Amino acid sequence: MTRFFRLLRKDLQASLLPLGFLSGITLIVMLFTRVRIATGSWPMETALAAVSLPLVFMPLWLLWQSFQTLRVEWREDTVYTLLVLPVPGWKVMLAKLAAVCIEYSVLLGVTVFGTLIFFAPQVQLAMEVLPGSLWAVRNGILVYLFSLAMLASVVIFVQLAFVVSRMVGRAQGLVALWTLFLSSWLVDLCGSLLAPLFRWLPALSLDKLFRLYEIEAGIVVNWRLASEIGSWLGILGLFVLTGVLFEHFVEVNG
Amino acid sequence: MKTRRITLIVLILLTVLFIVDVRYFGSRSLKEPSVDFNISPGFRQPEAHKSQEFVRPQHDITSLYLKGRHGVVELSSAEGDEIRVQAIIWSDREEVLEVVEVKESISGRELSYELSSDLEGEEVGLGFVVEVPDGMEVTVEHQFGTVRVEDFLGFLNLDTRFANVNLNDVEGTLTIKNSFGNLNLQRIAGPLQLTNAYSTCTVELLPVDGGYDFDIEVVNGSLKHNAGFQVNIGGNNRVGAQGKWGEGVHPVHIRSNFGSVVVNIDK
Repeated sequence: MTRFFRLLRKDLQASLLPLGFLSGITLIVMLFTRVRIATGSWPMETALAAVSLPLVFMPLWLLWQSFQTLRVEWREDTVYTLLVLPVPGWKVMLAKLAAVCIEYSVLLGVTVFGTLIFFAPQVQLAMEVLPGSLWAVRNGILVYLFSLAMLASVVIFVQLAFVVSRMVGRAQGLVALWTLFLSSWLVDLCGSLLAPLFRWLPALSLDKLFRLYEIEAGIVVNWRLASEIGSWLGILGLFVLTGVLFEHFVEVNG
Repeated sequence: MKTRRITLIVLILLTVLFIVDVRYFGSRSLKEPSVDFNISPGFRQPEAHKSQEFVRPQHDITSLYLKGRHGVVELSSAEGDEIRVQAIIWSDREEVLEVVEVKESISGRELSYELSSDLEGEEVGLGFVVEVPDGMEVTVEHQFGTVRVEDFLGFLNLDTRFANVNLNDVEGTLTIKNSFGNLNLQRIAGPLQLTNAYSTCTVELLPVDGGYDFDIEVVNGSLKHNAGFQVNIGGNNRVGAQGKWGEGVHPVHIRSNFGSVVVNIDK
C-alpha cells in the first residue's frame, strides 16, 4: 500500500499547481460576482451562473486531467520508471484515478465553500424550498458520491482509450476517441446481456434514499439495478484490462 | 509486438461487433430505462380516509395550533364558547389509517392537533374543519393543499408552503409566512405581517379606523398598490415602499422574495 500512496502523492503533487489555480479562479469569480451584485450592477440571478460555471467546467477539466496525467508519463519518459517499479499496472491506474477523484472533491469543496461564503443570502433563500439543512447536507453528500462514481467510470474509459492509443503508431487521437466510444458501447452491452442474471434484485427506491417525500409526497423514483450491475462489472473489467495493457507497454515497444 | 497485435485485433473485432449490433440489433440500444420516475403531486383523491371530531369548551384556552398537510383547512369564527375541530385523515392505504390518528394535546393555554406519527415515506394527508370562538389566537401550519379562512375574528398565524391560501372577511391581527403557493387575502381589517417567497400575493384591505402604516419590501418581484404610498426602486432588484394611509395606526409589514405583491385598499 505504501507504494500506492507514493504514486498517489506523486500524482497529487503534479496537479497541485493547476488545482490551486482553479480553486483561486473559482473564488475570485464568485467574489467578483458578489461585489457586482452588491453594487447593483448585475442582477441577483448571476449568482447562479457564478456557482454553475465551475460545476460545468469541472468535469471537462477533470477528464482532460485524467488524460493529461497519463500523457505526461509518456512525454517525460517516466512511464519506463513506472513500469520497472514492482507495482502492478492496475495500482498505477488506481492511483491516477484516486488523484482525479481527490481533485474533484477539493474543487467541489471550494465551490461549496465559496457559495456559502459569498452567496449566503441566496443560499438561505434556496433553503426555504428545502425541508431542512440536515436534509440538504445528507442529499448533498449522496449526490457527491453518485457524481464521484460517474466521474470514476468515465476516467476509466479515458485511461483505457489513452493506453490503447499508445499501441498504435499513427492516428493516436482518433484511436483514443474510437476506443472511448467503443468502451462505452461495450459497457452498455454488458449491462444488457447480464441483466437477466440480476433481475432478482429489488429496485432501489431513490425517493426514499433521498427522502423526496419531505419535499413533495407522491414522487416515486425507482432505480432498477439489474442492468446497472452488468455495466459496473463491465467497467471493472475495463479497468483491469487497462492495467494489463499498461504493464505490457514495454513489451509492445520492445 | 504480440500484445499490440492482440489489442488491435480485439479493437477491430469490437468495431465489427458494434456495426453488427447497430445494423441488426438496433433496438437493443433502445432498452427500457433503468430509472422509473413518476410524480403525482398535490392533493389527489384519497383511497381511504377517516375523520375524528373534537369539541371542547374554551375555558382557559386562548390559542389553537393546527398542523396539517395536503387536504383542506377551513377555519372560521363562530358564536358560542366551543372549539370544534373536525380532522380528516387520508391515505392511499387502509392499513396506514389504522395506525395513524390525530393527537390532541394541551400545553398551558394552547390546544393543538397534529398527526400522532410522521410515517416517513407514506402519503398521509391531514385537513381540518375548525370553528373557534371570537378573539382566539389560531396558528395553522400547512403544506400542500388549501387553507381557507372565512369570517374570522381574532389572531391568526399562518405558516404555509405549497398551499393555496384564501382569506375572506378576516378581522384581527395576521401573521403569515408563505412560500410556493398563491395567497389571496380579501376584506382584511387589522395589522398584517406577511413574509412571502416564490408566490403571488394579493391583499385587499378594508378601510379601518386608525388607518394603516405600510412598510413593504419586494426583492426580485413586482409591487402594485392603490394605497397612495411612494414606491422606491432600489438596487439588487429591490422595491421598497413606506407610507401611511389615514392615521397609520395598524402596521402592514410585507417582505417578499421572488414573487409579486398587490396591495389595495377597498376605498
